[in-house]
Amino acid sequence: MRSKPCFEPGRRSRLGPIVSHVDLDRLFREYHQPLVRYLTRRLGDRDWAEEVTQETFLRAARQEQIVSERSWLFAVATNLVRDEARKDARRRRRLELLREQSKADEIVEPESSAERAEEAAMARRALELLAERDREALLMREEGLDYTEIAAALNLSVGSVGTTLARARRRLVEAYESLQSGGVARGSHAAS
Amino acid sequence: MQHLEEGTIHAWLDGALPPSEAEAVEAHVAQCAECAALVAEARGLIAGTSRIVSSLDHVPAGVVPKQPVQPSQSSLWHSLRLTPARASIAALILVGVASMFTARRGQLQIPSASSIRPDTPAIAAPTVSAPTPPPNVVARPETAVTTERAPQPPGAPRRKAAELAKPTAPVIPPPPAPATASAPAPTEMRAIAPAPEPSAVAGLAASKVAEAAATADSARARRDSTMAQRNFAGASAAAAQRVMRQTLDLPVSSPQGCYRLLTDSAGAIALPERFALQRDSVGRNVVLRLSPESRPAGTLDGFAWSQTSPTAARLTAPTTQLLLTTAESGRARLETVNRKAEVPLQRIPCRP
Repeated sequence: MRSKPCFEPGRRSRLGPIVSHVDLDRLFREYHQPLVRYLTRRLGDRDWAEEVTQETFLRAARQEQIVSERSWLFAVATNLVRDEARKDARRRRRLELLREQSKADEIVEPESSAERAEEAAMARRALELLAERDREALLMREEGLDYTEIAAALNLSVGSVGTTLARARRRLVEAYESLQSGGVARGSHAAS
Repeated sequence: MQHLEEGTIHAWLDGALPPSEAEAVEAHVAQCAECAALVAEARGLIAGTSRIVSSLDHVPAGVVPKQPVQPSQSSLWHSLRLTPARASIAALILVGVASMFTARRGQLQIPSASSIRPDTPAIAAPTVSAPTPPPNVVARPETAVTTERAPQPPGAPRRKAAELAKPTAPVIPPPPAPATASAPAPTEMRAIAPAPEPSAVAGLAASKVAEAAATADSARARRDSTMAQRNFAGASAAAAQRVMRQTLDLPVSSPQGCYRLLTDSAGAIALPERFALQRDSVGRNVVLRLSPESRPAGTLDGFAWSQTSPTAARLTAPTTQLLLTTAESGRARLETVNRKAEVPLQRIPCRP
């Protein structure tokens, strides 16, 4: 088994005609929801996730063919987010402000909804404490990508995916528990 | 074989090891207590991670009413995804907020957007029984909709989500309620349906998109529902999905789930008629009281449980210990440890 993936988005596959041409309809049917969910978890914003997903499919449409579809789509989506995240801090802060103000309007919520929102906020904070690659590997795994796909999408060796996931899972759970008990969780890297 | 590394254990649990290696790991774990403990820990981390990540699905769609994506413009209006309609609503929200804070804080009611007047914030007080102001409607439906995974045409999930939501918080109001809201609100609700917005940039037909979403949803719903039969905990389908994921690394059968005592067991067994064996958000085993509708109604303090086999659990109560054993076709039984008393149980579907 090769240790590094040998495809790149946009490059013609050496396997030639074995690979199907890009069928956008089918790609959309199969991968739209998983991508949106992955990106929503990654970004914390469903609208934004939808936008990035659309952009991902746009790029897929431009390909002659895609070898390992799920890997490719998740890789493109991940890279789009990385680029945007760096440029987008100010926009996110403004949206966050608006969101907070909108929340002030809300009537006393039923306990369950407020609980869920609080859990989501804690989960988000815990997730942000992971290293970027660990976080991405984790979210991809939660979306059902296997080790080969994750390795291809993130440019890792298949052998290191297990270690990455082990580390990510441990850090996430520890961070979450620490936040739950009211402590301040320590991150290993500055959140990126 | 040497002791196992963390990465290998996770790879094995994720099914990513080649068969020969997997067999070797399995054989080693069977006879190495240390590694077996590591495996148990790893299982817990995997389950906990799934739960934590699933809770991220509960996220508001956005601050302001969702509208079809406009073609890209490099202006502040676009970058904030604001249109004049949204901006006016946002402005009304802010005015409403400001006016509320100057009014009595005891009644935090939200006047509907069209009726906001700075000097009469109490207008909405009589409508407290149906409190669904446009901002709340707008911010929430996507949330409610995301908790709903069953296949539905775009119109239906709003109603289904309303059924799922607790009675005290009608997230999607029936048509009469938003009549008081400003005109954009009903349009926004339609636009918020789970089918992705037709983006002018992507050029995909709205109907195709909706159909695609519905198909993808139905495939996932089928997968999800088989898992979801097992157990639910928490107050929504999102939480159910969360719990459903925690069964991913459990054997096919598990004592985790919801039960009902089939006989009046006053005295011998210190449990309410309906109870559940679940795990909380950090993976601790908890015993929950269930309402007559089989919904979670609080944790039973002093109770704990631990799985002893795929079909059995030890249930620890404050003053006694019980053994719970599951059998075929949804039956189960509880026995006191000394086997003197036995109570038949029925496994029941857990409701969020």
